[in-house]
Amino acid sequence: MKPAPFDYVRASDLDHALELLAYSEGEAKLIAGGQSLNPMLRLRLAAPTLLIDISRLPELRRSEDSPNGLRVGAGITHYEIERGATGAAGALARLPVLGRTAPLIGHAPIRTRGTFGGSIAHADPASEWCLLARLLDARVTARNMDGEREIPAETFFEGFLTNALHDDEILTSVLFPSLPTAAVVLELTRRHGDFAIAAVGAAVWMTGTTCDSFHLALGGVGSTVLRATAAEQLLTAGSLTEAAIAEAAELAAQDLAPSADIHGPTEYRRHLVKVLTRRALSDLVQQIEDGTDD
Amino acid sequence: MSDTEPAPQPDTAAHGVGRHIGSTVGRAEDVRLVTGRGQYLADLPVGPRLELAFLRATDASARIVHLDTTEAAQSEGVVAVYTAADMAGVNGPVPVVWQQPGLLLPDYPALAPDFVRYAGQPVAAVVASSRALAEDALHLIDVDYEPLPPVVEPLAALDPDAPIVHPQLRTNEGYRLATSTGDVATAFTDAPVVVEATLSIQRQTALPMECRSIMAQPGADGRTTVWATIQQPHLFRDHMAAVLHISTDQLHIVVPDLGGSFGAYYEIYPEDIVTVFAAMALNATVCYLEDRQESFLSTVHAREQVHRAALALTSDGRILGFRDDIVANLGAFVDYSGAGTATVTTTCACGPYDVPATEIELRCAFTNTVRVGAYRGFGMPEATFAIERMIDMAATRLQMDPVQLRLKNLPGPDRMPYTMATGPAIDSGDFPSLFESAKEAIGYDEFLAKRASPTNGAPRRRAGIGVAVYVELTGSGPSNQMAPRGYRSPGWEGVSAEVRRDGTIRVCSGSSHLGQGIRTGLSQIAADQLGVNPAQVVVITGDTDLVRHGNRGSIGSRSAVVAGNAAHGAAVELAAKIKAMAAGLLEVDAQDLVLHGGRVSVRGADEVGLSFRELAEEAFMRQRTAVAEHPMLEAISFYDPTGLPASSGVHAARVEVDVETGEVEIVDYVIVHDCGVVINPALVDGQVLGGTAQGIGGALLEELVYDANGQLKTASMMDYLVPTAAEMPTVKILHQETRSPLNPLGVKGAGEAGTIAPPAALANAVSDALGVPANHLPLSPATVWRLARQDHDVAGAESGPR
Amino acid sequence: MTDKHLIRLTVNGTEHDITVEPRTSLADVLRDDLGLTGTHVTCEQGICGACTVIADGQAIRSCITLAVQVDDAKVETAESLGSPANLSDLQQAFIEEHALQCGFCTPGFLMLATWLLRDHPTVDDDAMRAVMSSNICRCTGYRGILRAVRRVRDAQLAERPYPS
Repeated sequence: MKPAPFDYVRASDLDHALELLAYSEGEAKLIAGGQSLNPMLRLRLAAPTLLIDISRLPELRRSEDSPNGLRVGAGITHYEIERGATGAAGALARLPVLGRTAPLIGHAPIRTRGTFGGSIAHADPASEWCLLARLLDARVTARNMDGEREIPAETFFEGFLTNALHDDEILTSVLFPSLPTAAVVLELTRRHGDFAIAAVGAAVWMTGTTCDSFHLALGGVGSTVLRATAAEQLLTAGSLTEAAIAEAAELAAQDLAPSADIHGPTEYRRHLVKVLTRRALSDLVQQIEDGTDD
Repeated sequence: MSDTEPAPQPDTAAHGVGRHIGSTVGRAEDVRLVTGRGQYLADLPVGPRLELAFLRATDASARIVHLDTTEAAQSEGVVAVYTAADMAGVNGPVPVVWQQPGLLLPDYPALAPDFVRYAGQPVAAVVASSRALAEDALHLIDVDYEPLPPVVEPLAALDPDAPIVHPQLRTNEGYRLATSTGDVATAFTDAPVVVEATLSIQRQTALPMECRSIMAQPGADGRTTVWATIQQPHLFRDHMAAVLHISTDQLHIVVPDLGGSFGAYYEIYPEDIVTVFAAMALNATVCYLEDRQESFLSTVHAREQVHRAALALTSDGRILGFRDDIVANLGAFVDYSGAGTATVTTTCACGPYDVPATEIELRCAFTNTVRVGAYRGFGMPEATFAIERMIDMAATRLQMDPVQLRLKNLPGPDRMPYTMATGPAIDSGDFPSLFESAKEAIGYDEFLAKRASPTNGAPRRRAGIGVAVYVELTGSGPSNQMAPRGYRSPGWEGVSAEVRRDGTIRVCSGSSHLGQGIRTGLSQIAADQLGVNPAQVVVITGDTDLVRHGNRGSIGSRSAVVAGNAAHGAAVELAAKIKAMAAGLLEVDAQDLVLHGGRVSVRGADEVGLSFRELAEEAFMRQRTAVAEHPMLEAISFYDPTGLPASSGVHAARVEVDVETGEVEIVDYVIVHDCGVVINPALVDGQVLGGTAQGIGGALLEELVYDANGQLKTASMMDYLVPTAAEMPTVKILHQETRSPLNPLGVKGAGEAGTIAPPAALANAVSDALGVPANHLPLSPATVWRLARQDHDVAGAESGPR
Repeated sequence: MTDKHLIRLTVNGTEHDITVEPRTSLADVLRDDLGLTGTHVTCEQGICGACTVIADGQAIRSCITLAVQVDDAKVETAESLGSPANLSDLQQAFIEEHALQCGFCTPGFLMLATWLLRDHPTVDDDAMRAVMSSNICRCTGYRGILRAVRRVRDAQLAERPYPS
């Protein structure tokens, strides 16, 4: 199980990386932590002619909290986010759901190398970061030699392992433009650290005790992370009563058709969405009452 | 012993005083293994070696219409490319050591010549200077297949209209065995209570951590040294020599440190034959290191059976009869034991119960899948799952306590030895006592009392309790009863023990080290007879030159029983020789001599004696001893079992089932285990607990899944889920020691027992929690959720908040 | 064949300049180029943890890390932990708690635990179990492994208490 041969260049800075990428005409792949790419290379499911290593670019390791929102550098590792408020990940304490979600990703020795931006770019519908990006309407910053553009998460994730990046673009950071009052990510895995069979994210924006907006995102049950818009509308309009939660859970699940796999049939995964939604919303109510996500 | 209590520490007081059996003696290899100095096959410093990679069938059933290796042969680093045509005369067939009378035996070639019968079957082999270059060349092989319709499920394969896996056999039914005792028809006709069910056990695999590996190095003397991950080096040598048409003396088999095994290394594989062939053809060191993907596509799978069972009882719970119609999957060819695992299932089908009338039918089907063969437990977890679920379902029907129902039908200690309905005898054991200990440790009565008290509504989490009992027939023999059953290997082991010239003691055994600690166990047995510390006994295993006599190696929970008693016999004989020689030299009566601290001396007068070194020096030099009178201080003893020492045990589990998600949490788990005299408590605990982890995996997690086209959907450790530290519950292990009357040491095998009961105990606990029978493994969340939905209360609870 | 790269690795305190193909994993370099065969490879997909080493202070899977990716890194393998005559506390505890049988997964577990107790000396039992679930052992059922790591953690804390 050895990869096909390829060339390798460690980019000296972001411009160098962009240049290499532009001249490779789609034959190159970027590598940061490589925790998803290396297994694919070993199975020869990916066979690029060139790997461009962007793991040490300082430009990708910046995080900042500004009036525009919270920006997470693409090169920050899962483990840096998990271990919290120091170094490059320091600013991220403003969005505590990041730190609570990081430990759900794989296992510790994967998280020490895998990066935030790498996960987003990999666009796995079961990815916790993709779920969070969709949940919080994050905006992906993509850069090529000509400049920068922002892509809303909604259009960034195009399909299973497919994103909206052009061949010459590098994902440099992800912006969370608006921080929720409370947010929860809940998932069901077969074993500790496995990919989620289904995952649910819930977030609420409040002014005082009034709910301004409510988001619900579903992971691992479609070709991309999905938003449960009907349930969101119901919750935004009303209050988080037990009845509303139950109804929202029904709404979230009703139109889903997750494909059956070795872990369960369509029906089961749809049902899980209902259960996880209900539990996530109950957790969210608890969080609002405790005021833990300030 | 709880999870947080310290492990038993070496009983240093016992060292050197003659009672090492029963004490926790540390393993000599541990220091090497924790410092990264293990010598697993890929670690061996043999110098430059060529590596092999295999082109494997991508179709489950197909005719090879075109195969061109020209371009691959010219690829960088490639030394040779082989196809079936290159191996004419030595292209298998892959040997089968247990050929049940009536078994159909299709030839399993090393490289597929014209047809492929399962996805993953080796078609061509590339030898190159590195594995990466060999794999590069694989992609340059031009191969075309004409796909044929595959058959994957064993029941489907037995349908008269199914595609035939091996057309020359004209049937997919590779083996059929029907046995009956008593008057089954009457038993069922007259029975007031009959419980019927279909039960299934999923396909699994042993998955040792080290992938299968083999390396062959031809020597200038015409002999080839073969290092291999195998459990039975001597049989491997004999079979490999036969396939390659060379003399057994041209092969020297060495087993390096092994990274597990659990049955996966109990085979000669096609890749083994190609590797040795290539090394000899190229006169170069050639190595095949299976990768994990290949291990899923080539190393034997296991279990996969469907049972249609019926149990007849009186209204007060006395078993009248048991019927089981078993269908097992063989895969595309038979494994080393033929239809052995399923055959063992039939032997254990009734469990240890007193069943007056039985009818067991087994049909084994060829399918276009990887072979189904050996995995720790070897047919017994399957049998135990079926009968123990049936007993629990009967208890539910009769509204009887499941433990009471079991005790009513189990032979008590007064009936030992007890001949089972299916033939073999349980030599010893005490089932009521096993249950008593298990019930107390798991808090059985308290659990039931608590549940009897009213609760408010149907909770999201439901608690359940389950038990399972089993016997494991270990250390198979005697040899003269095995041959008629189709075994082409005997039951004996021969162990030699000698005092070497420097006074050290060497013991050689044909059993194999797999991580279970057999060398330590044998050193304890020998040390007890020779009056030395086990650390002073060097045990040699896994080398066909150093170990003269060996056959079946370490399989079937036999090493402690068969090699153990052979080692005991050899040590007893050696001790007698030491005394006899010393008696002559010291001019005393041999009966007055004792062995202690590496010396032989006069009882009560330690200063009058000789060290083993002095004695061995004289045995070598013969200055004061007549040659004819005292040959070397060496003894060889053969032990051929007279019966099957029966280990037994009860597992008890408490679970909580999340009825909304189907998740099963094991809240408490108790094992009461009886393997007779315990040679080394820490090693036995390790075997029992490790086996139990595999059994828990089989109950809840592990499953190999094929799609309808015969493609394996779970060919990675990402998809084939073995338990991690997060999934393992705290396990209490209790020992009961019922000495086996069948052998001098009183021991019974312990290697496989742990795997046997967990699926049954956990399925019983889940069934108890849900009030719905859980008869299909594994109990994945999706499966358990589906079961939970069959229960009305749960469906009602589903819509409420948690 | 692609261009080879010259990389520098400081492995167990010794500096090595090594020429590698880009496709070569760190695990293969450690084993094949440096002869450090204590690092074992079995799943090659980053799932089982047998190949766990410490690189620049972090536990990583060396099978899904290319050697070129860790150019200039300080790498620690099981061979660095202690010698037969001078075992590390964890090595000693693994032996005494029967935390190994076949021993194939043991170096990976030792490196994972060494990193865990260094990175998080006060780790509680639940968090320890979660981190130790990163690696797979097929022999022991994990009891001895968890006991050994707990024992060393407790001994370290007794010797040098950390503020909780």
